[in-house]
Amino acid sequence: MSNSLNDNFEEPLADLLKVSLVFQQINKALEAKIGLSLVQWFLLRTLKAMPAVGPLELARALGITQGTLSQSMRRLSRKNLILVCDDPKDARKKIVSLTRDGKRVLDQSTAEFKQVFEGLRGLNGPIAEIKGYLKGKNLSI
Amino acid sequence: MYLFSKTGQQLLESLFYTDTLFAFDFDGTLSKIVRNPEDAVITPAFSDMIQQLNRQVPVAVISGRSLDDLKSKFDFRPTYLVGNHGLEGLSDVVQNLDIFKSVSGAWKSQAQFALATEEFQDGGIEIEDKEYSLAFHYRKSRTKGLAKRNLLKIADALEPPPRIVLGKCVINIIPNGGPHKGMALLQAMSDAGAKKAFYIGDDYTDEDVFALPDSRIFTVRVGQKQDSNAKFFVRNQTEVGKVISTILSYFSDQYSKSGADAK
Repeated sequence: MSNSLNDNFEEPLADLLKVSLVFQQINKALEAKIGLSLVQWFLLRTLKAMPAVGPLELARALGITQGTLSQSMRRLSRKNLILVCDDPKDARKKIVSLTRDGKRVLDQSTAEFKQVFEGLRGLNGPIAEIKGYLKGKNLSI
Repeated sequence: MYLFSKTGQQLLESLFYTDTLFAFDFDGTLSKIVRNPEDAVITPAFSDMIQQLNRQVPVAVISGRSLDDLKSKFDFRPTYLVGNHGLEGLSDVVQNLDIFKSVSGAWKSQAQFALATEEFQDGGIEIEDKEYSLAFHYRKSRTKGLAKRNLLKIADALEPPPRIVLGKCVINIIPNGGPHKGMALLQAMSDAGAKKAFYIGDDYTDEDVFALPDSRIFTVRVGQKQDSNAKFFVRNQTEVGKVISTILSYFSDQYSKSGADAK
């Protein structure tokens, strides 16, 4: 006999996990096609609005740890999509900016992602609800 | 870092990708430093470039000159014109203008009284009354070192105590508790909805901007100075023209390669 109380959270949780798995598959397919993962796209998009920023501030804006950011930064720097250089006033610190190539790739990939994710328009409300709920569980998103 | 180094230019270009307010000091930046402040002009070439830039993005000129004086230097109106080190030109910033005017008037009387005494007489010293602040100019003094020391003595004795900001052969006497260039820039950014600001200046008064603990501000000094808080520098006032033309080139989609080989 099913426990109706358990059913109330298991089904939505299972659906959320399925969404996550599908999202990962889409992400892999897009990265294979465009050469840029969604995470990398998100980083470039955020960096576009924050030129010459320090990595700590960028990590905060992205909602990830500096360690995770460092890996992504290395990959993007190797592709010449971002510039990482010493802070002119403090050589112990770095600053990061989008390069011209990075801007071009960002614009191209945004156009591609738009075709795939256009349907998300109008779903801000439900997504914000899910995000707010999970954030309340001390998960860093 | 030299702004026209390869890295400097890449960083400058990245400002173009987002909503950036471009802000400039006036004397020594948009116009050359001159012996008589009233003779300072913005050249037609500079004026034309700033006007072009102003059509594309919000532009601010933030100066120690009075607002009326600053307005007279332009034949068009940049988006933001801020005078008196931030005291004039941005409506939200200052609420005590009457008090500042009264205090500045009192200082002027005190300074004139002191300068009339034998100890401080110097025909090369001028007091500029900017209504809400003063400037003690000593460029024309034949003994600049002595003139500066004497003026600082006079400034130190003023009541109520002012904020004293040194400039090039000038000592600025500014009301305490009033805004400064940095606050004015932040206000202009907020008004413009800008995510980033570019600011270029040449003087001690511009350190109020350079020293702002705000990573959204891209700071450039005219003339390299080791102890400046500005992150970048250009070599001289002539290179300010190259800065503006470089920024304009991004908007015309003709990326300048002229600085690509710079040191």
